[in-house]
Amino acid sequence: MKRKAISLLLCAAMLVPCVSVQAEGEKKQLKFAVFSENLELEFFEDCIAEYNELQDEVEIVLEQMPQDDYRGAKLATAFASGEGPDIFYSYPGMFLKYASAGTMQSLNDYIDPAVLDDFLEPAIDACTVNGEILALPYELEQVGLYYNKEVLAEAGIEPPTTWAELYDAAAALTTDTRYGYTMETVKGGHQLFEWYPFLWMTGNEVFKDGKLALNEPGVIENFELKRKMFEEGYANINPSRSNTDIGMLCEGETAMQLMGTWGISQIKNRYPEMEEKIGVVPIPVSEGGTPTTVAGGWKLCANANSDYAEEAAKFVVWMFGSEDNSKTARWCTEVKFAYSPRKSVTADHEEFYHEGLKGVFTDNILGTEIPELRLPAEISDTLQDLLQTVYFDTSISVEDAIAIAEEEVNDFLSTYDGAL
Amino acid sequence: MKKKKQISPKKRREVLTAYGMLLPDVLGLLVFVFIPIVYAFYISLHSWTGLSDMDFIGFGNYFKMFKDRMFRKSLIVTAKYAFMYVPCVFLMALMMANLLSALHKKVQTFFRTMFFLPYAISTVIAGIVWSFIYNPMQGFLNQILVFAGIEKQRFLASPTQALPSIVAVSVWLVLGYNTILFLSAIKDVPRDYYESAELDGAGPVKKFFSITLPLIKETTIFVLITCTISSFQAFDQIRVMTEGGPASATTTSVLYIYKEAFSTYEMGYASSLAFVLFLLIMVLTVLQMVLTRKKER
Amino acid sequence: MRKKRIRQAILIALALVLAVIIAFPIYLLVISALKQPEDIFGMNIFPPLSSLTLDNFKTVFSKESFGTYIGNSFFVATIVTVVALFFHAMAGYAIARLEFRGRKLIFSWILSTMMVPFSVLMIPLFIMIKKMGLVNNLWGVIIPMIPHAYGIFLFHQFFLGIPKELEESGYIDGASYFGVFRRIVLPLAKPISVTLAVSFFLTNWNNYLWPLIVAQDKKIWLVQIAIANFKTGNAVDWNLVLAASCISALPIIILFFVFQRYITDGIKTSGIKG
Repeated sequence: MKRKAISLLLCAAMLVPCVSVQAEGEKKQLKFAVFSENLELEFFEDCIAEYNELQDEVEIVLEQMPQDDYRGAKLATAFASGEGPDIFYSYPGMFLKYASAGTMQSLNDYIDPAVLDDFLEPAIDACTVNGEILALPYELEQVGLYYNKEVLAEAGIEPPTTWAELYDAAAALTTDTRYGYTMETVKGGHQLFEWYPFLWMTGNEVFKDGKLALNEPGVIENFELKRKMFEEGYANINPSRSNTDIGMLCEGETAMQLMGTWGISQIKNRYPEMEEKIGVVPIPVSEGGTPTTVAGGWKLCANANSDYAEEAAKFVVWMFGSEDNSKTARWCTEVKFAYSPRKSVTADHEEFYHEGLKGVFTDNILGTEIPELRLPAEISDTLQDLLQTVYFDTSISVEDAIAIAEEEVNDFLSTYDGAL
Repeated sequence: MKKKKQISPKKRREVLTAYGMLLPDVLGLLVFVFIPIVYAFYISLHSWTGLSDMDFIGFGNYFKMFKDRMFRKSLIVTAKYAFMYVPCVFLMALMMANLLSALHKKVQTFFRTMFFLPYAISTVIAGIVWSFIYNPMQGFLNQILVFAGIEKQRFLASPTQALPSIVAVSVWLVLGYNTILFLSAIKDVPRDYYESAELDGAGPVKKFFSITLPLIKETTIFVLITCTISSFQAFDQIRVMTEGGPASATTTSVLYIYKEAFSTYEMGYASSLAFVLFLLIMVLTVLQMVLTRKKER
Repeated sequence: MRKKRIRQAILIALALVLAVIIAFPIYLLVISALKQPEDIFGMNIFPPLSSLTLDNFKTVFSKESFGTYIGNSFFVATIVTVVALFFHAMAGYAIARLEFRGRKLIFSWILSTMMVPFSVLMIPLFIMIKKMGLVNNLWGVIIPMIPHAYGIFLFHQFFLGIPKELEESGYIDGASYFGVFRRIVLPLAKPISVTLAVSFFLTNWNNYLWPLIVAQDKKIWLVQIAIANFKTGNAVDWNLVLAASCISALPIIILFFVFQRYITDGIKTSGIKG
């Protein structure tokens, strides 16, 4: 038994020469945490190779991890023990936490004011706290309603433009094997992201006079509508995948799907045969409401607590904030389809932004967007719970659910003195 | 024990051997589990996001949880989970072990492997595959229900059915392993006990209760306690299948603690929640130990 | 005799039903891993054979260094299993059979370490590993996984159940305490050791969170981290995730198959009676 164990151990030891990584040469090593695969990973690898060639002061090293853990234990543990990456992405859910802890290095000193003028103002504002630019946006993703043209045509249904039409269409398109409509059902930042346009189009805001103000007819109507669609099974109650995957529409699980701009590149890369069969329209509007969509996306930032904060900031600016806009351009037009926070990219690629379905976004949806809110994590958590309750927990009325959320948020706000 | 002064060399050897044999594990547990626990307790006395310095607030986090509606709800969910999970694993594993031991040796090996199979699957993948089975529209389970003339169910998408559905998966995952534990205990029961009982005219049920059960007591205690502890720590399968939803119907305490720590970055608060959970599990385990010891007398 | 045969047939039928129910999800996993990417969520349980493909498996293996990740996992799981088994057997025996002061206290203390959810210990543990210079090192994955109350508890329960007479004969022959443990007790513990070995190996093979936290360089990824990294981005390559999971489950099943004959060879079959 013992001899066997030892020989097993030796076998294993021979299989794997134990790896420990050491810094090479004199260069300062900077860790860049990413969660990308395939094309996106290639993009970052290329950029880093280029940057490492360009200068001999620092060497950027990629640290790859799954997206769930990027927003979860991996990055949090790394920061908490002083092992945080030098360069990382921030997203609206964490932006204020990072900002108030001083985790993000101010980029003001590194970015050329002339280049700053090239950025869309709301996009930069979303990354600025007290005049300090803490991150650089490199993509603006917007949401539209994708649908299967053939299925709708067969049922003789026009793509919905209002909430009432959305409900009727979903009901008519639901069969034994297909849902009429699919949206995010899992609690989290993405569900919140998908909800914002439905809030804003009714003329409401999350806060009014520094307090949560959701007890409004438009908000309640929208909650009731979705609750009904889920209850009656016209909306997909248990999507097979996250609602960031257009596959559910392309494979026939649903007839309509609420989806971001990235859906277009997914169709192109994964379902080329469906390119002609999928259509996009703006998100259906409430009665008398204004067409609205939401603009989100990740931002790149530098770790202020890093020994090499300055070098990291320089790299971030070189990536997405230098005069040469080619990185942003490649990301938004080659790697995926997204709008660019830099006007020059949009102007340089006018043709690209008008090809096929992208044209629908550019002509009918672009311009109606409002940037995603960067709420304190506690508030966004309460809002995420609220959405779950109003969509799925019919044992409590929508009004009561809102009242509970309002109490919790306003309680939190009374002791909160950070940025909003 | 009290006559300290007269320690015989033999006794001393025994004590030294015992300490020596305990040393590697006790040292390991001390460094890699106990010190982190103490440190986590220290963190629980602070307000800490993990991004900047800790802020000492005494027992502030512990007071905060009394107002925490979602934590209260998560405790109820956890208790429900445990109440379903522990008896299911325990009884089913015991039954299956008995079934296996009654089978002829040749077929036994085959069935042992079959029963064990799920244990080899990672929890995450089990979650994904079972989501296919539970799918409300085209899932296998609903196909059977429809075939049997029963209405389709929502399973993971229903606030009332989601938790039992997850429990079923958790049970499925560990059932084979616990069956094997029971089986090896049953195999250790000397054959002649049964033979003499048979001569007295005892049936299989009587043999089970008067011979098997008392003689596999140590394994019973082990399975009961480890199942209880693991039911309080179920995490991966929930994260994959429902992420705690719908409407927090499957948000167990551990999931809630995880989200507080790593999605909201409330590390201090999360640590305090974990300590309360720790105390609850401890009380429960002690209770189980006392109860099973009582039966012994 | 005939009655016995009928009884046996009924039991086999019952076991067969159970086995089918229990193995069905595994079948589903395998069959889904053989489907074309766009068919996976079609939920077809008996797809036509012609629609199945081995491409997913080929793609997984063509992915750079998937073999390395399997090797890493094997290395970690093997070392933890072998070392832990020996340590736990010793500790479990000391508590179950030897007399010393503080025995109950130490046992309760050991058990209590099992009750704190791992996710809260992660940050302190990571800080500790960092101080030891083991971040981004496979040993940083291995060492903290060795001490675990579960194994000690199981061995303890097992040793409580074996008859004392066996050891006494050893002492009469003049063996030392450790000698009795090694030569008489340990061989008896073979079945429980194999059961536990399977469990340890499996837990460490499928362990995800801690190896993920420790690893920074791709070179020391374990197989489960590689699988999780198929799930990044907005659309997931589920075909690859499923195929990779099948591949990663295979070693465990083989391991169990090979070692299972030891598992249920109880004490009695080794020729000793209580």
